[in-house]
Amino acid sequence: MADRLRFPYVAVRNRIGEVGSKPLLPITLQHKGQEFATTGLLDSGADINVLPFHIGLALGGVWEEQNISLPLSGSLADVEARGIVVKGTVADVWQGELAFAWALSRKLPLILGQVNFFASFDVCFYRTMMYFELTPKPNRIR
Amino acid sequence: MLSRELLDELHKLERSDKAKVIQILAGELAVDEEKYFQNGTSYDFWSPIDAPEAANTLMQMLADSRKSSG
Repeated sequence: MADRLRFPYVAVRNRIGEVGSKPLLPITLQHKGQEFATTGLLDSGADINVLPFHIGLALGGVWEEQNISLPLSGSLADVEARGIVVKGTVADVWQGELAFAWALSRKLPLILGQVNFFASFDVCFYRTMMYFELTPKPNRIR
Repeated sequence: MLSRELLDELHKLERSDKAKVIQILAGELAVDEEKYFQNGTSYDFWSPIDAPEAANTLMQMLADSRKSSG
């Protein structure tokens, strides 16, 4: 059985100054020999992963070279996005490919959504106890 | 700067100690996040909740990537 990884919820302040708790996962991304350690918001309602523009640049991504445009919708309809596949590492236990919509926006957080983060992990949220757990897919264990 | 020596030491830790290190570092990241989110500033949090075409395209990109890497 795959190991479960436990992480605490992270306290963040919202736009009206209140502190709330978010399931923010520490994750390291690698691409083209570059590495970027950050946190990603676990968003089970999101269809896709989203990579903010500045993180893509830090990973050596070249916007003009990513020629697959991704149509977004709703509040993201005006944000241009292009597909990019990078390697992700979680807690030095899991490593695998993650496909992102690399968004031409610095305002967005890094979002981990159904394609393909939630296809790579089973996720349990224990909000009342302020932690969440990930179980990597067995074939993704190092 | 993360040194090879530090990484080697971390790898040697017992499983329970590794979990403690993760918790400590996650807590520090929480403090960093608080610095990032400034009081009184408005931040938009968008979620791509209806992006089936983008999802299909990303899945195809992953399949292509896995095919090309053998």
